[in-house]
Amino acid sequence: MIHNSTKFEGIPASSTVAIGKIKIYRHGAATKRGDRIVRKSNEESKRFKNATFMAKHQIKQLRKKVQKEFGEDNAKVFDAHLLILDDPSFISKVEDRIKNGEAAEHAVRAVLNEIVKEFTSIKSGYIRERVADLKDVGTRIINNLIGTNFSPINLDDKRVIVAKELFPSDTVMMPKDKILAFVTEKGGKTSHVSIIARTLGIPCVVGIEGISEMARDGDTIIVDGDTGTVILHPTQKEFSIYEDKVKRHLLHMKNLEKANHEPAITKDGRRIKVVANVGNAEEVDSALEAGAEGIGLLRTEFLFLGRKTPPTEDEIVDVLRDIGKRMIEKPVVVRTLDIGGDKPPSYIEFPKENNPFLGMRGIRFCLKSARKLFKTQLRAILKARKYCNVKIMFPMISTIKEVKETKKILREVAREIGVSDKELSKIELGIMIEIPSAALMSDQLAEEVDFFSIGTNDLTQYTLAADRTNENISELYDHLHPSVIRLIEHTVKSAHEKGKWVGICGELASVLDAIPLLVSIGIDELSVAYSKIPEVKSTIRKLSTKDARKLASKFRY
Amino acid sequence: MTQKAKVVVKNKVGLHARPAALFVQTARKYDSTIRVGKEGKFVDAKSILEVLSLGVECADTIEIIVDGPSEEEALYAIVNLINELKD
Repeated sequence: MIHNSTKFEGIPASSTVAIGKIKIYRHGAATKRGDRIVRKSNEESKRFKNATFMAKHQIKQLRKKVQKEFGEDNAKVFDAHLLILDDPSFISKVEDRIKNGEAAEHAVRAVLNEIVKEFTSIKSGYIRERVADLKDVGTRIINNLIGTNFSPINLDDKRVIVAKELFPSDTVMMPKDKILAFVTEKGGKTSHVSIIARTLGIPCVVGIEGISEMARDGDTIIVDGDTGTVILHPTQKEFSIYEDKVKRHLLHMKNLEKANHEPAITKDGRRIKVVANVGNAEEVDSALEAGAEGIGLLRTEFLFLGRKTPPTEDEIVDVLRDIGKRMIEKPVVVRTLDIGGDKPPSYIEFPKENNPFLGMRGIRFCLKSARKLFKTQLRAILKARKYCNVKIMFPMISTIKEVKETKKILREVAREIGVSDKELSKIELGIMIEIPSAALMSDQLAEEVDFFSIGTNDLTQYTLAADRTNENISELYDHLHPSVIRLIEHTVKSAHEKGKWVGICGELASVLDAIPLLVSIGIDELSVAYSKIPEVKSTIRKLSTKDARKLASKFRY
Repeated sequence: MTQKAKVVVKNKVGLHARPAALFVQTARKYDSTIRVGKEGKFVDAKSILEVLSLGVECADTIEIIVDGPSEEEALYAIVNLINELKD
């Protein structure tokens, strides 16, 4: 029997196109059966407690698996499941029903339905979609009570998974290298299945009602995650058109991949280094994958915050060694501890300040109130030089006196651990230019250090005296304001006159429209969030210095 | 004595599952009774389901009421968490 080609329009939830055979996924008995046996209520309560205890264990295992296969961000959804299992309101509602004589499965299902109903009446689409998380946990508890499992899926070859609904617990059990695409009846762009699809880089279309009943295992399907079109039993013509689309996409991805790892050189041969801002050791791999040529800003606060005691020298060396293993010869600019009274670590006494952002923070804090800790960090960075191509950078510099004092401490520390002056001079030292006074005095500062990194976010706030998180005046915060651009220009000029290089690590570095301006000013390095690296590189490649100057002229400064 | 505070939720998607999870996890660290409310409707801050049901979105003002041991610390931790939420 020849099936007719049927086209559906759903919600595109994850881009690119896939063509393949279907595997239908159905949920097991837990959503349908009910338990007829009546037990005493304290026995039912015990069953419920056991089922949730088992569920917690299962979810913790799943979380580990997802973290390994799909990354920490996707694993976090299971934390919400664990919270639901411990939720005082959920537990008391189920226990109340059990006391009233209901069987555990019935009580769980009834409470779930109540909560689901409440959620679906909330305006926020995102929260409505989290109903899937609730159903997932509920199904798991009921499965444990009845003694069934989430249906495992066996795939010999790559398939497009078609289902009515897919919960986190469903997708986790699937062999990710055998999935071509997801198509579901329920769900939206922020459903877990959509997020997983985007993580895997495979197409996903949701909101196609009835498809899990219409399609059969083995049917051919085209899934267009860009437009939301799904074609069941495509004609030869439709098949050819889409096959072509798939081929072109694969070629495009391959070229992009290659390009990410090439240096960013303008049309007239000027190379701009593109590196990553990184806030913890885990981001390093993603940064390298995205094509980072180095780490332009390693924020080290993660070493110091979120713990009850300060880090030891060895702990810091270990982290840097680990980073060095992956970065190999690529430079890592380590910014020393940059914290203040707004977010103090628990083990340091911070004075009460009226204005922490104009107070004891950054280098000031390290020099005046945490010298021992500062020296520990410096010692660790120096020791790590054997394992990692480190450069050292000091935050929140406002005067040349601070730089001189810091360098003095660094020399002391070097001497303490037997690092000769010659060896020390091999390590590049830089400072953040984020305070207007430093930008204005950059000509003098350029004599003291090897490089500058402009923190445009703070520089803008301090220059325009505007808190970017204050809605009342947030329009004043403009990192393209002429005052800020003039300071950047002056900084670059001062540095280049003394033969030093300048990078930008603030958000301005990733504003694609501003890149011509920054290039024409003469910035040597752009340090950005790793996800922006490919775009930044491709923008640079499209420029010539002449174009850059023309485009820059539209910014009056 | 009770400690109270009002805070504006600034991150783009409001108090949805992941920030809500952080919120609830933080609340559960303290022995105090913690209630969180939006437009006069208050729920148990330790219940993820109740917190989600408030439907807190970006630019909403929520009120936090803490009552019990270490209430100042608890309040500070929660307010800080909301202000630190990133997009």
